[in-house]
Amino acid sequence: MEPAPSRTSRRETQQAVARRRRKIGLAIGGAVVVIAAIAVAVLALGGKGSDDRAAKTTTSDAGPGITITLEAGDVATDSAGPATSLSPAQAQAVLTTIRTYVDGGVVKPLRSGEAAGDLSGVFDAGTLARVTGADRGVMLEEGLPKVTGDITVTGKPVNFMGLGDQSGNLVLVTASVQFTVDGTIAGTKAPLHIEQHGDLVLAPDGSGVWKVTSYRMAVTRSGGGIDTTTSSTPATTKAAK
Amino acid sequence: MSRSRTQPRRTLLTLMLAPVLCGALVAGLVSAAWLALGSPVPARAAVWMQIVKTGEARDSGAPDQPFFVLALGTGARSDNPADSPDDPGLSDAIHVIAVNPALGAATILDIPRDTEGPGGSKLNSYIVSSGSENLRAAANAVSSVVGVQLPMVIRVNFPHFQDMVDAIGGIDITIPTAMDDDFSGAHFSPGPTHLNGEQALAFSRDRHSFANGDLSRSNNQGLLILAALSTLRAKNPSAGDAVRLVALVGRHVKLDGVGISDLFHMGQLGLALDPTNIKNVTLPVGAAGGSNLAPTADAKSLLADFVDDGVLESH
Repeated sequence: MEPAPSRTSRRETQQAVARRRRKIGLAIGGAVVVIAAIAVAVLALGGKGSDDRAAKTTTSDAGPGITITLEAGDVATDSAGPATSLSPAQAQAVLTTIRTYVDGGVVKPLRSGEAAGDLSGVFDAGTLARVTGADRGVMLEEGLPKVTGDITVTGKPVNFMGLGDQSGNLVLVTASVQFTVDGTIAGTKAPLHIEQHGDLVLAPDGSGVWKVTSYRMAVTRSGGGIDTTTSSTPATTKAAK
Repeated sequence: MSRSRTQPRRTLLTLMLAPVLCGALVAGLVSAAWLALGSPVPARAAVWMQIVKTGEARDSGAPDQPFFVLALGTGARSDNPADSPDDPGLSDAIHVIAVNPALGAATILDIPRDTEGPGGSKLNSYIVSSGSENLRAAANAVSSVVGVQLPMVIRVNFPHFQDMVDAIGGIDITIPTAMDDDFSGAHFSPGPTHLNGEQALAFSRDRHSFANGDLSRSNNQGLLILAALSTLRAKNPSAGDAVRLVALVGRHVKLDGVGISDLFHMGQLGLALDPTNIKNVTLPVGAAGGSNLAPTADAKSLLADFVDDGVLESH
């Protein structure tokens, strides 16, 4: 028979057990808190109506003396069904299409003094027909004096709003755009200033490329004797087809 | 001594940690369940309206061509005829809405409910169920009177109409003439006012306040559509706002052959229209057989003006 432990040793044992329990309790509690925090963070990133800020900036040199700066701003979604989200990659893809439009429809015609090239990678077929028809004077910087020297496009952050269908699939994104274009007119050396603002609506085509399916834009041009403000007529409609 | 010191500390620690742990546990469990199940599907929302594609529009490939939509308001209290067997759901509100994107203009053509359709039946009697085929039959009947294909039908029922108007925050409208009718509950003085769902429904149902009954009622319904568009336009200026609006409507609409994208583009186009470029006109009708009505000679030239591009240039 073992001798009974002394009072002091019993107390030490109890204290040691209590300390261990406390440590275990704190460890479990901490783990639960951390897990909960991670889960909540994941939810916040992927839930319905997420309002994020995609801070990626597209600053690029589109050619000698040409700088286009476009930045993604706020990102939000709403859905007719389960929650939908616009991922940073999707926002970036939309921004890339907008940048291609600015480059091909605005900057290149200014630099060359000629008509814009092929924009079928930017607009869907029905919308392209309208851009190169009724709304050509709003959407494209054609027919203006050639611009030499630096061309600088500076955009405000582009805010995105995604729409989910009744199954929660992201079907389109609206992009609120506002940018200025500054350059110098060849010959007269007069400064040219252009301001474009409005909404573009983009949807993925069959191959997943985001293209503009409708728009509502306004443009103001000033400098070198050009002072005009023009707005596009109401957006095109897919429902008409 | 030492034991008595440890006990209160442990109790204090337990009291401090317990709520934190419980909260974290609950949050963790809920979050984990949410993650495991995926995004929560909203509880089945009430269906305010039904939109059915009934056929192809004239399509030359040009995005600016006019398009025509049939809007019907029915008296049915339920979408399921078995739920209300003595309520046939007559479509007492019949409107053909034409939009011309190129001209930025539109027309709301109000068709009196007693207008005679094919086979001698009144136009309001073609809907007997909520099935898409039935709506297509109604579209064909109205189409035969108006003389243009109606590739899309929108149908709203009384109670849903009320809910819908409340959900969008009501409608600002100018009441054209005094209305005082206990049957519909319409008691309005002329002038600008704001209507909630119940009032909007009363306004659109009242025919007893007018000498020409349903003709004025039909015109008032067109006026209400126009006022709703103006109100929505004022409240939703950007494309992002249109997304919110379409998502809201999309949660309460039954679609057949039409996608949410179509709804968005249609809504965006409607919101872009200047209300001063939208005409609200009631089809001129006269007596036909019995209590039926038929388009008058004047109606024929109006319809010819209407169907060519959706805009009334000479009327």
